[in-house]
Amino acid sequence: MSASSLLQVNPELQRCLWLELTPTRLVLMPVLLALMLVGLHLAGTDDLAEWIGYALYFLLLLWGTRLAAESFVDEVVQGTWDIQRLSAVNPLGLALGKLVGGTIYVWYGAAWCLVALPFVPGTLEGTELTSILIGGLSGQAAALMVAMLLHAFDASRRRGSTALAQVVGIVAGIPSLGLAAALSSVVREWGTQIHWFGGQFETGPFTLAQQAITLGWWLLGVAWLVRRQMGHAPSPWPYLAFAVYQMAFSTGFLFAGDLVPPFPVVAGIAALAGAALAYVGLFTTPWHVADVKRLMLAPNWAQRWSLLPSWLPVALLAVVLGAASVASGGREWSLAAAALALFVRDIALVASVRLLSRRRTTLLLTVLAVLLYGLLPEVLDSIGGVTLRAWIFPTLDAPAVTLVGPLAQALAALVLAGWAWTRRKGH
Amino acid sequence: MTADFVSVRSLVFEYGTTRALDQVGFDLPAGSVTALVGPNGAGKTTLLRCLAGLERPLAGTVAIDGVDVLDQPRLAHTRLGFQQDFFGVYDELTVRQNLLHAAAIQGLDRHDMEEASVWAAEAVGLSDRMEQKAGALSRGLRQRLAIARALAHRPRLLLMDEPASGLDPEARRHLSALIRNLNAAGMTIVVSSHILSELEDYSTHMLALRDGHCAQLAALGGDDAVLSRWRLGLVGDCRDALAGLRTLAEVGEAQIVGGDIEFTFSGDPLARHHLLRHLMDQGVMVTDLAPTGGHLEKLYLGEKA
Repeated sequence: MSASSLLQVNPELQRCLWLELTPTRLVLMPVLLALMLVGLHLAGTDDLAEWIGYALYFLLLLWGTRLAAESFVDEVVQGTWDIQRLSAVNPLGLALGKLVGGTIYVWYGAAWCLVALPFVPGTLEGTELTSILIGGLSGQAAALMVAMLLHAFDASRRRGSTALAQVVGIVAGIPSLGLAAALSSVVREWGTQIHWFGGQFETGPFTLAQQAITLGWWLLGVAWLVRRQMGHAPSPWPYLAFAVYQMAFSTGFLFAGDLVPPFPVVAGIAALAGAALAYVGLFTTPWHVADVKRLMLAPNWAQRWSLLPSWLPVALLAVVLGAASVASGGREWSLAAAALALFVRDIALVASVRLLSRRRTTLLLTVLAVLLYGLLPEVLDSIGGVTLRAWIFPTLDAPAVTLVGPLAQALAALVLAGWAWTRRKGH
Repeated sequence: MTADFVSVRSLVFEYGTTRALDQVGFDLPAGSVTALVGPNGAGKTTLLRCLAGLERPLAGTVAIDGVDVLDQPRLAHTRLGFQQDFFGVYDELTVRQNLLHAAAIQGLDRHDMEEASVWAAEAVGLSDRMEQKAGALSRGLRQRLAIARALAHRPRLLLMDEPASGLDPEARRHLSALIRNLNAAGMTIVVSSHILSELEDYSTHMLALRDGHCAQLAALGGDDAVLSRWRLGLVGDCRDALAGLRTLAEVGEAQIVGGDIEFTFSGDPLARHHLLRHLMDQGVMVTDLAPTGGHLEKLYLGEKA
């Protein structure tokens, strides 16, 4: 494909090709890889295929995640990101172009690794190889997404973005560390078969399919952020869709063979998954005063919906599912009400911290989380046991009167959030 | 001329708790060149960024050629070009690659891309440097390349933020000529600058911003123009000439300034001819008649006062 043809198909990819694939670099990569393999061979290494696997990990995950994050951060630093934002291209095209183009050099190296693979001693299983490749791209997409999220928090941020994005990318990309794969590892303990929505699946292909689907979500996430950067309203749909998928995925494991779990259990698990994702969304959403005001000033419901923070519909869905679970005979209502009160408390606390503090809000929130969910229960347990704890935390079989505790916390946090808003809102 | 080619209504924008734009509203006609003026911090760059869809306002609407920028930002991007106050060019790419990329991201097809890159390079005088890397160009040439990138897809609206900043006098003259040529080709242009004398060369309208408010929108030419100011040079006693001038309907305020007469005048060239004939018939020894210059500056400073 000629340069002008590729420019028409994906301008960002062609731009990256111009920048990344210089003649010197094109020659250097295979030479270095060949030197590595020859060196290993001379050192008496038998399984060179295994080393090619390590090389792929290095290229795609360690280096590729850095390149992916840099492909965005460097543009912001150089002042060219606004050019991209002014373009008319499809956000998904720009996201793919940036993701693949920004990391094209390591993929070029990976291609050489694949070429060498059939000719070296040892074997790398097809499933494992595919897993590394998909994991690599997932990790890169995650790194790019985190870099963009950090930019949304603080557009003037320069230092640390790349390193943090790289770390998250590596965690998301290594199959044994990735969220979906970790879940698969757990179910692997049950045997080589996985029961999901009544069907039986081999663990390997199931994990791989899950990795591929996760990659799709990462790509959608990046495209969503790019779309927002291009001037579109945020829209909570993508995150809501992701949350619904994760809820369905989690509940799928409850259906083993002919066993159909009772509705309260299904709704309860889905609510828990939704609540967890609402927390993730809550922590990764910057609370800019302007965002809140824009939402409040929106002239109609369609605009209000498009400006909603992504965690909010997910949180509401989790609450509805939780209520449905309780109403249909699940856990007692007082436990659910206490959990809901703490949920509201946490949202209000996050809002307060984000509104009041400009820097290091994540660190502050992490400290708060450790205090509230780590230290406080231990202290309460040691002082007064479960009876005292019930006044602060949702506790099974606790008297209904203890609900006053969580409700008071929620109220106090809401008052704090209201005060923070009054202080920060300006006009 | 479409009166509301650029239409802004009740625009409000805040940085943190600072209100940068407050209920800004105006219409700009198609084919106009608008000088966007105002002191530092008045909100000029923010307004341009809102027009380009780079910033999302708290409230209000922006429409360009009938396209709502907030609802359809990417469609709006195809109709506008934005040259920002910093060099938005890829230093490691050549001039040609920069321009091809600029055309491609606005959806031009292969053939049009090539043509657009050649045209844009010619327009800014970079045709002989197509294979040179942007990073190797001088400041002025990089600025030209940034302008070429903004206009490569021949947008209907060109937004320019301090385009003359850092340019030498020759490059500034070239820039003025470029803006006039683009305008003559039908492009609507909004130029933000502190150098009012240069803006006067090509501007048809002036939009003044002050503390985030739209302080004044004035036409500088045509039927809607505010009165132009002229200086009449003469030999002899000015008082008779001044009295003669004041009898003419087209003449507004008139006063003696340093032995000459400065006056505002609303007539066309033929009316100026009649004015001169009238004065000469009265025996006034006219030596010259010329626009005073600094019209935009006076208008702006008058608004400021």
